[in-house]
Amino acid sequence: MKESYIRFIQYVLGAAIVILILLHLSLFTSFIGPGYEEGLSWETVSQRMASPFYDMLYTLLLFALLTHGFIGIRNIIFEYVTNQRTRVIISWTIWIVYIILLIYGMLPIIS
Amino acid sequence: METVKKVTFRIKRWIPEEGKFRIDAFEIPVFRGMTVLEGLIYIKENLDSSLAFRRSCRMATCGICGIIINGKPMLACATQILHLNSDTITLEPLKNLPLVKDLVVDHTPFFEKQRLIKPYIIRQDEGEEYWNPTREYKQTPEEVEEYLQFSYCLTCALCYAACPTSGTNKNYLGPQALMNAYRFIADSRDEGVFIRLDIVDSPDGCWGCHLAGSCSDACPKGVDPALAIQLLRKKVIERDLGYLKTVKGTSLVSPLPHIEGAKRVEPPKFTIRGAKKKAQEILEKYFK
Amino acid sequence: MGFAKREKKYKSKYNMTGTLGWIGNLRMNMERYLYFLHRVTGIGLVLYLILHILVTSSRMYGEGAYEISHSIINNPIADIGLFFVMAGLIFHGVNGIRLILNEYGFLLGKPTKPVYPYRQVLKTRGPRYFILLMIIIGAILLLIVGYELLLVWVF
Repeated sequence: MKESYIRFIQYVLGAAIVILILLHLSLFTSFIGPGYEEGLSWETVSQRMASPFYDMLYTLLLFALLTHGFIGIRNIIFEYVTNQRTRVIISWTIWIVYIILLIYGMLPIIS
Repeated sequence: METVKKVTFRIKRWIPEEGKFRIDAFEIPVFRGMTVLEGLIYIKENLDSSLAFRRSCRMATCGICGIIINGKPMLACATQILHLNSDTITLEPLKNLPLVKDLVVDHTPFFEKQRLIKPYIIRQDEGEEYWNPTREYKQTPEEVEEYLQFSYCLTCALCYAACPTSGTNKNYLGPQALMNAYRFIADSRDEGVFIRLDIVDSPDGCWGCHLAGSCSDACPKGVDPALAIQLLRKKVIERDLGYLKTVKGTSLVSPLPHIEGAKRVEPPKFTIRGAKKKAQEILEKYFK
Repeated sequence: MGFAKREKKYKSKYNMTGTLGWIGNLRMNMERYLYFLHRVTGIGLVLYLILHILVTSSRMYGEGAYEISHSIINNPIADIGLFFVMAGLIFHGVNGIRLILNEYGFLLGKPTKPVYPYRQVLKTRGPRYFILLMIIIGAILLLIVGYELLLVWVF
């Protein structure tokens, strides 16, 4: 995969995260949502996660955040590791951690 | 010259035999308009003749006297001591390059990276006309302005020393090489866009830049490598979206067409024996 | 490109700035500080994200596990930490918008003639006013965050 595609994904997801995070955080403000403490209580959360809109929102947000974050970490590591073979190994390690976290984060959304 | 004040030079010298730095302090008299390079020459003439530093033109044209002055990469010949407004001036060799001795660094990796991006005009219609030109390529003043700013580079490696990515990644092409890649891509005569974009499109190429802007801050000639790298990325994205054309279709024009029987001016003959053969060897090695 | 191998071959010592180069030389331009902060907040946010996923995933083990995991973070000290995470997040987002635009060549204009005094594109009005705009937006968002957290613990 060309490096420009990877960075394009990162930038597009970065822009998407700005919107998604604003939606996510507005749920915990007293202006729009129920407020910080109320928004975190068990009843509100289970009620919220029952609706398909929030399921979609949090699936997208999780995917976008993890992808964006791990591409960023990869870029920083690649500045220190110049060997091509080691870079491939690091890429695979990052992929594995990424997929594990993605699945683990998805479990409460699906269930 | 009338001495205005005394200034201490604290020089961080690289001692190759011991493999470590040593800081030496020299007190020098300063006259109005004295540059840091003149201060170094004063030290070499009067105080310590073993001090090694590089200089050639002493007027910011050759770009060899780049050193780190008070923590910022600058040309020693273009920096006046009194403008620095301090009694002690710290001098260090340039960062991110191999050390040789005292303030001298080896510019070889820097120049090799410039060579990697093929800093010459590539034509698709490469043939006899390309190697033995008889005519010129047509170019309007507007087309010249597209790349004129970037062709003022001195290859002084100040941007390379200032760049944070070059500080950790030895394979990173560096601001100068990437700027030079854009200089040739923006050139209306050049048709090697895709060749250069393939070289540049990597984490060690234009995507290693994170817009810290230090290269533009350090540049003594206002070349602005930071701008060039961002425009280069724009070209990469244009390529991905399929906007770019390889053949720009710049036509050839005859020199002085209004004069009958106008001839091409021959280049001067080589004065050293064997120089032509050597030049051809270098051409074949690097440019083919 | 074997520039790292070259070092071994010639036994030449590179004068690298290394990780300290993130903060850079003594005299820096504004974008260098933003670059440094963007990196540090980025790494911090990834660590926070992992923690966040682990904490919120306790929801799937039922109400009891959820209450336990949230009782750990439900104290003023954790919320001061959260305030700094939010500050980092807002900075990263606001600066990220600037980076996305600038790194694709927007807001930067065209190259000019190199006439003294030299112009640096990043120091011209466009990018600098954009930074100012982003600072204002970030400050407003941070005020809202601070207000919400104060609402819980003070008012």
